[in-house]
Amino acid sequence: MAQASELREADYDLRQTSDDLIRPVETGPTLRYLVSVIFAGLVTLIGVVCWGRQLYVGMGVTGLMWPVMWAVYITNFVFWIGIAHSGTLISAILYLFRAKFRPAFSRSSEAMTIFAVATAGLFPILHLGRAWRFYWVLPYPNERRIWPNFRSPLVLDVFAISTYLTVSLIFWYLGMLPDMAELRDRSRGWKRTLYGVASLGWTGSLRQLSPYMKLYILLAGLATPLVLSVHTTVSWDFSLSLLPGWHEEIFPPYFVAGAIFSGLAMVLTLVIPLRSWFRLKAYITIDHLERLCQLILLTSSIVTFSYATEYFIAWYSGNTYEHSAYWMRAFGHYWKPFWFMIACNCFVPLLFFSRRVRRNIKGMFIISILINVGMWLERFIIIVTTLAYSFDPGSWGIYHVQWIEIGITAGSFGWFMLQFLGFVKIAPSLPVAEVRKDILEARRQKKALIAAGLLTAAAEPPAAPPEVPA
Amino acid sequence: MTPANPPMPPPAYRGVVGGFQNEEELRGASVLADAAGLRYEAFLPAGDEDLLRALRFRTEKSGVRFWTLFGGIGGGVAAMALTIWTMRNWPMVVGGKPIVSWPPFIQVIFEWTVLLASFLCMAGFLILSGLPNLYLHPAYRPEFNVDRFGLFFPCSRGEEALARALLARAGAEKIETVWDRGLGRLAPPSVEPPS
Repeated sequence: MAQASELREADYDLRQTSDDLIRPVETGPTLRYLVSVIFAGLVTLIGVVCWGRQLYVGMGVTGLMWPVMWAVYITNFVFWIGIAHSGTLISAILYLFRAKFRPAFSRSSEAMTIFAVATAGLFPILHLGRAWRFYWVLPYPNERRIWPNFRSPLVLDVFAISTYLTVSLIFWYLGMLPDMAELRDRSRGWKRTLYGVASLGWTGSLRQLSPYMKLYILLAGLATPLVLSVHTTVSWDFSLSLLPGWHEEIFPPYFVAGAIFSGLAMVLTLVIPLRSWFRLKAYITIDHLERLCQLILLTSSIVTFSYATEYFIAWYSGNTYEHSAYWMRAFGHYWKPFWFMIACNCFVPLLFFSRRVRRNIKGMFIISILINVGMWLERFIIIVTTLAYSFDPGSWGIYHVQWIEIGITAGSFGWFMLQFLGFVKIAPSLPVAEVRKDILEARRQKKALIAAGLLTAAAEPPAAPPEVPA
Repeated sequence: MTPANPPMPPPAYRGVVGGFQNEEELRGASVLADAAGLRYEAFLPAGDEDLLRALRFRTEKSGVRFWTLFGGIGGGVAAMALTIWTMRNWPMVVGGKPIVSWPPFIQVIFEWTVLLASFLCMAGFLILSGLPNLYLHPAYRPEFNVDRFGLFFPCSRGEEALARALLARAGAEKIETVWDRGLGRLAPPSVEPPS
């Protein structure tokens, strides 16, 4: 099955492919696109206004109150960092594994990474209250009597996230060089200058290509451990504390798996409208989407296993506080989001066992959104229930979310969508050169099969412009 | 071009270029060129490792690897220095740990190793590939980045007939003499002979 779909690529016309993939950049915005931009812009504006009010009035406008001093903002931070995760997973790790379905998702997921990190990075700053003093976490010699403490996971987090953002940016940008060159050659006037400078003068000559190929594989290799390190470090923010429900050795792999899980779901959420709005169904095929669904199924089972392990250890450890923390998590004040999270993360993805669901676009779109809701709730549950029900019942306290926090959370989604919508109009959302490479490879395979007598040339489908119904 | 500008330099002869519809023809041409002792530069629409290996077997070892290695080592050492120096200069005992408690520093060391390795990997690539260079190669044509494989012979005028015959024999289309007319940055490359 997979092989047939790969061989179909052999009949794609290279120029037609370029035209199809670059069309979204060259054509003007459609009504649907404009409405989305306006909607995302308005939602972002709501977030900005809410933040303005928080800056003006103070942190009292939020529901943060002792003992729950970390809540929705940190939830959003962990959520967006998690989303950022699978961008580099898809583009770097799948590149190293030579996965055939990589080009369908790599560019949009890399973009997703950059924008999600840019969104996530706002939240620690928002949460500071005095946002303009964010540079205090950077370790440089100062006379403020603030000691840089390299044992603090919060400082380590600054290193992890800024490195991840920088390396992902380099990987994303250098991956776009051939496409920028193609856009340069196709455009005139100021656009030509802009894309010309962005392409750095790329021509695809051997002199440029040989170091480029080496660069790309090295960057993929360097980015791969980063993928694992970022969420590991985020999980240390919790697990290096002593609170029951946070102080766990399972946190790093558990966070990484959860992050990949939510990131894959977000890729699905973004790519499904993308392929239908911009007529990319021949390049992001239902087979490609099915592979993504299978990966989601795998990561969902890892996440479910982690939940089970957490509860098992809480029981097996015999520790009263651990036991009570997990009991309150499932049956305390926050039981509704908890069970909704379990449904979304552990049971809903099981539908992907059915091939019919894996090949149903609407179904997978709804599932992908449910997974993201579930993963957002997971972070909320981990953060808030632990703080609300720590050691001594005398120090317990319930957190109630306030409308300012809801506004800022919605604003972060608007801001993320706005960035992504801007990106699809500036650069091709699929790596054109990579797709071309796959077409050339498929042609070579097909020729070899014909030469070996395993495929008759007559069985060749007509080389019509590719249009696959979805 | 305003009359105040100095006159354009005369176009310089650079060689011969041809485009191929498929990679087999390009490979054939490269074999012929090796046999004839002609140097060449190819333009490929996609970075294909098999093809690259076939065309440039001499430069298998890329210097980008060494740049990356040195970047990684440098980043690791720098982060080690940063953490140890900072903790010694701002000594603060946390949780009864020694001032230089290296296990948590490994995280910073790892991040800077990757960060500087990536930076120098990029620098090595830019230096080895001669980028950024906004003066496009005069033999470059836009279709070489879409659906044609370009082969350019940087030959002397005496070798032009041989190069043209070789390209024609291998099945090239649009065989043209390459003139460098010294056009400005990002100018559409021109391969027509000067008027």
